[in-house]
Amino acid sequence: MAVLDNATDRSMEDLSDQYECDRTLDTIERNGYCRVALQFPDEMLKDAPRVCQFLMAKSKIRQKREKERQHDVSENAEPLFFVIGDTSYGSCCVDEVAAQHLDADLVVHYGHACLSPTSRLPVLYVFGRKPLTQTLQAIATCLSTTLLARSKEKRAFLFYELAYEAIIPDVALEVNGQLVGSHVDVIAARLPLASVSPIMPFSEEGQHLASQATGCEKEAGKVIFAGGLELRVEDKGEEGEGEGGDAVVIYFGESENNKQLVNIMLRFNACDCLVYDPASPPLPAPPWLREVSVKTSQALKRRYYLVQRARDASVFGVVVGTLGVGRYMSVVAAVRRLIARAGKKAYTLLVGKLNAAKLANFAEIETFVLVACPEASLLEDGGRAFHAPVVTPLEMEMALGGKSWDGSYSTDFRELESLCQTGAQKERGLDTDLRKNGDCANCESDGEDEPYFSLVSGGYKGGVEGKAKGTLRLEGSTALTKFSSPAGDFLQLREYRGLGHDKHKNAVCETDTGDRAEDGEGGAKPPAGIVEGRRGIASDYDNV
Amino acid sequence: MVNFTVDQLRAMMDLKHNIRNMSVIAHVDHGKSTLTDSLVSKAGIIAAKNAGDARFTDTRADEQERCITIKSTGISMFFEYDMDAEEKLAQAAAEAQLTGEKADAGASSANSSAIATAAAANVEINDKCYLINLIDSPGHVDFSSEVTAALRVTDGALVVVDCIEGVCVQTETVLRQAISERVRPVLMVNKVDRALLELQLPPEEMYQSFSRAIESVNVIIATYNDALMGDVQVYPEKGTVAFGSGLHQWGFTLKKFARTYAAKFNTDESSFMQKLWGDWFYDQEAKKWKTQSENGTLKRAFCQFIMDPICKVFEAVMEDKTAKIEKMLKVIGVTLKGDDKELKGKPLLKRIMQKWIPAADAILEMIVVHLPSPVAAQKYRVDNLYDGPLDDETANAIRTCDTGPDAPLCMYVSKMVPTSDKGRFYAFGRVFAGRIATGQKCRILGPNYVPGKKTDLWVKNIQRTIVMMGRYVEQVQDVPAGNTCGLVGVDQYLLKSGTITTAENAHCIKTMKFSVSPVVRVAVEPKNSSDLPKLVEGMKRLAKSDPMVLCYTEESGEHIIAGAGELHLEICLKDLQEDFMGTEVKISDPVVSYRETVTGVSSQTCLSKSPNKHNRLYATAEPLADGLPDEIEDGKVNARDDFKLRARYLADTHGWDVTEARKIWAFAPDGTGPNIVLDATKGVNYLNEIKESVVGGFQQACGQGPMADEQVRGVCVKLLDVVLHADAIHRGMGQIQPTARRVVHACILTASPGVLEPVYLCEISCPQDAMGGCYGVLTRRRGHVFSEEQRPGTPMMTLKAYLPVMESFGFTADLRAGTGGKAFPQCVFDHWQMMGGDPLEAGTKSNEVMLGVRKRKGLSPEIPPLDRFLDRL
Repeated sequence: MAVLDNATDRSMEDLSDQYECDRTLDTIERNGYCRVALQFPDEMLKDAPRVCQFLMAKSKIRQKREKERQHDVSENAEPLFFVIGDTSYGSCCVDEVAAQHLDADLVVHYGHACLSPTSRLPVLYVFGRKPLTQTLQAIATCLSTTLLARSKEKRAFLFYELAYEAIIPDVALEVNGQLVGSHVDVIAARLPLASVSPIMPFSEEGQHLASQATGCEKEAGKVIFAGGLELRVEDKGEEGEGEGGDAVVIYFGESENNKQLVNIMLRFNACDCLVYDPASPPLPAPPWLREVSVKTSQALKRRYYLVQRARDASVFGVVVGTLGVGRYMSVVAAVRRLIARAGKKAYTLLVGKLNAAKLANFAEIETFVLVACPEASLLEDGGRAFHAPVVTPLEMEMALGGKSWDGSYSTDFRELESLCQTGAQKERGLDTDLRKNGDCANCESDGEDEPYFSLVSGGYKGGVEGKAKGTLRLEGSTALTKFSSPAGDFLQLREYRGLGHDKHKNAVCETDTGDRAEDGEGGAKPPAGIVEGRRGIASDYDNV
Repeated sequence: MVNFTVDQLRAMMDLKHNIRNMSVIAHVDHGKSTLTDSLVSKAGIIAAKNAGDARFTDTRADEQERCITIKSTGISMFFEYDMDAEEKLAQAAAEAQLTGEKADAGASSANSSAIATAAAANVEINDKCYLINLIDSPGHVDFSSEVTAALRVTDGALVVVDCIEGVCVQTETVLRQAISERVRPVLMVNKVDRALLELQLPPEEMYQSFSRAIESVNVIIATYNDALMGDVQVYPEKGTVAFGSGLHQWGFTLKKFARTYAAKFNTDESSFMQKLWGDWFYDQEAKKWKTQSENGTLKRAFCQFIMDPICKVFEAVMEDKTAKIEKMLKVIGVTLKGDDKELKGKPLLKRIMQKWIPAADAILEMIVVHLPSPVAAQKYRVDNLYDGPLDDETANAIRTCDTGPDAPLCMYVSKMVPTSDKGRFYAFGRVFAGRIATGQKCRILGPNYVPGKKTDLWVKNIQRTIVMMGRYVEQVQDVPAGNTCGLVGVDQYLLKSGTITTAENAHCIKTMKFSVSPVVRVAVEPKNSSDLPKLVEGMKRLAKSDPMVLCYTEESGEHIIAGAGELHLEICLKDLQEDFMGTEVKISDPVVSYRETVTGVSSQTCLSKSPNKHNRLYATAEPLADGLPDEIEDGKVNARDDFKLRARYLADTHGWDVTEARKIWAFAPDGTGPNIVLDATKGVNYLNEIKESVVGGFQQACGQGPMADEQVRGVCVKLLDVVLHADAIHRGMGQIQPTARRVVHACILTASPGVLEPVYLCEISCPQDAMGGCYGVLTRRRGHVFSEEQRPGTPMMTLKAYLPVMESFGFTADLRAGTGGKAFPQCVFDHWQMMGGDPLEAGTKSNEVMLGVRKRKGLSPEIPPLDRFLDRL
């Protein structure tokens, strides 16, 4: 982001160049958009007015010129520009909701992005550009010598920070040129559907719609999504789909605090990952590139631990961490179905930007499933600040046994097909399921309620009551039915259960010798009457 | 071959007065397995020739290779023993003393009905038959948990002591455990052959060393004595001590010789037996018993009548005096047959002694006469075993060892034994009441079962019941109370141990308490990340197979395997890779867990604000008094105690202020740990509303300390003041809990934090000339010797030293190298010790350690600064 800030006293031309105003206007013109929302991240917001004014002025001039040329007399409405801020979830995502409030038909997103497909609006991404300190040749030489020094891998996947997007094809070409005849082959990742801008919304029908809209032929091979970029690898027909041990990942960009890099590393966790940072000089001696695989394995281990924790949980909170990323609704639904199917309880929460304090208000929830864009999914420091583990949908699927932990890992919704399919299948296969359950009830099969070994506690977990069914069941000899609710059970365990109860308890404590019997099944005191509350903001009420 | 049939064995199980459940316990290398061989051979399972070398109960290949027992092994054997009248009387008296009842005549009648049933089924058993369910246990301190598991299911223990080495550290540990489990001991003074052949001790000195060993055993027994069991000290003159050699398969009790001599002297056996031990001297000329040696002119009766003849046999055989040998053989009534005549030297000696005074007879006599039957033992063991009310149906059935058709079943599974079928286990345990049968529907209660709830409870059928026979198993239809047995089809519900019952209201049998703790850990990782599920399955199986090993995943995602010591861990890792996983794993260097603590009172009152800045918590930290953390860990001071009693105790013993002590909010971590948070606020509104949030934050903070996410130990946090927002929505759990966590961390960091490391108590026995080497190795490893004593009568020295666990890796090997293999250490976790230096100051040892831990866990490289936890008003 450091690319686009700088002083405000830059000339209009500089600014226009930085923010790619011409490309923006071309796109608008070509597609005839008339209401355009400009989304600036916080640190660029100060440039927003000027960029907006510039765009408006430029578009007016252009239109006039156009009209003159075509002698068009019709009142062609000139495009309207709005400036909007970030989403509540993070600056990498497109704030579709805000844009829709303004009835925009295009969003221009500035700065770093997670490139998650949107669900409703087309988006034009402007990443900005970071300068290179070295020549293309020097960079390519550095990369190719490094690759030649490594004998293990046959392929190298080149990923990059988005600010270097423009020069990557050249780098790849140059490196491949230098590597002709060697054992390594460099494959550069690219923007999804990079052939056209803006990127079209990503709907339920998924890729079909997108590829039809762009007229893009489905290429041979497999598409891997990582860090917002896509990588087309030839399907060699072998297991491992190109993410196995025969590849090395090279990341072109900054290595510190980079969530895109973390995502890429987790996606290719079996590969070594090297970082080439153009902003800082390469290491003085071979291997020139910094290796970051150690971090991968540590991050991956931490994720695995979280999966184990999730496995032990009986109450889940599905936290909606995005309102923009395509297909988020179906993922939420699938996650809920999966949890229900495992006989556990799920609550869906929408808390805006995630923080530890907000989630700590839900003490009864043992694991949160965060449905969000890939970069927001992986919390800082592995989510250690939170009182309960926060996992991704894929991890939850692993935890509930839908998928085994085989080393593959992804946070991208487009790669969660199995999850969504399970959900869909579930509905279709309801009949068979019921029949199966019936069978189990009859044959009293073992294994059904067998406990499992929990790695968190190092002991067995589960059992008859381990699964909260949340259904009506017979209670003992009195043929009464009782509803079991894990959250209710949790509340029963708590000492403090709310104001009305508290008042009552206090009274008992004060007398101390007071009626114990009342205390036993107590709390049945009627709640206090309704009185007018306070007004104002929390730090300073008007009528205290 | 085996001189009993499975049918006989099964029929014997009903003779509950004729059953003895016993374990063999001792220090490592004192000869447990070797001695066990003598009984195994008497039962016909192995040939007499091999007994003493075969170590039949060491069933694993690595046990045989290393000559060390690793797993305890159960074996059921059938013997005939004819109790003479006196013995019967003695036994009846003993039982009466224990139970405070008259010797029950029911015994014989109960037995006779069982015998009648058996007779009907054409199985030959009678009142003289005994079923011995023996468990051979490991002696190495690292495998102490196996001993605990063995003791739980047995009523008697054969304590083996090397007569030269005497009572060692592990002898004491296992003996203490036996007594706390209310297991009655008898003693075997072993390796007498070494005293004779190697040290060539004269009889009087031998007597002295035997009597020292017996005395030390009795001192330990007396220290931990349990009134309910009565006097369990061992006395040679009462027949509860045997002497002998496991290797040569001979041994005797005083009774054996008393019987021979009584006829000669024309007195009765028991009075002669009294004279065979202690200060009794026989004046042959005057034909009188004296209590003094008359200035050394008289020989002690023990020497004269027992050791002298034995020495003479040894001398004759070793010096190869054929004529003398033959004469002696006639006297002692041993005839050699066939090949035996060709033998010479030690093999001949073994043969003769084996025939003359067979070890099995001596041991059998002690077991049968002096160890309690299940019926006798369960009367006093029940309140130590049963966790529920001692007058309910199940408790009563356990007390009487009820095998009747209506008796509720109660069985305790103490360990899992791997089967040949990979991944499956036999659940080995003891039936305490009722009977367990193949196909029976049972309630399986795990260790976390709470009566009336359904957690950790399964109702399942028992697939098969089996009897453990060392290296093989025999299937039986059912097993009545008082016996040990194995179960098939239970292993998927119980991880390590558990209770099996039929009564709906039955409680669990108490969980076992181990004398060692898993302080040595390694992190394992599959070589290939897709092997992770295999590793997890392997860890599960490993966790099952060993009573104590811990397998879990840490916050950082490392897969940890924790054991009692290096050897324990080595065996566990070998099992994991070879048997339970089938592939190799990457093993990290051993890691030690540390504890974070404080050494002073917080230098300031710490303030932390909630995320919304509307709530403030003020607190300070101070160290808990010396010894209090240990008391909390031992459960002496307990979260469940009545708060008034607890406050009184804390005020009396640790000088607390009573009013303050009454306001203890919680112990942490896990609600039971050695840290305390207490409420020292005055007149704060809504305080009880945030109590749980504060306690929750405190638990988190103590589970993961501020410096390196290690557990906190010995910290008392006082909540001094609280400012809360007037509106409930702004002081919810989400606001308070993270704040409480921060303020606790701030308190710890301001109270001159320290790092505790675990320390082993290390006992080294070595000859005097190897002492220098020991000291050298210990000093190099930051150990310090605090006791050094010579074993009376031997050139052996016993060193006791404290050795940091961190420095103990490779210690055994290093010590061997440093002393030419003469020194042998036994290390057992003893206490936590403060590490030198301020952990917050760069360059100190403790700082280095904390940073190392952070790195391993993948945390940010430096210790978080105080201002991350502290806020300004």
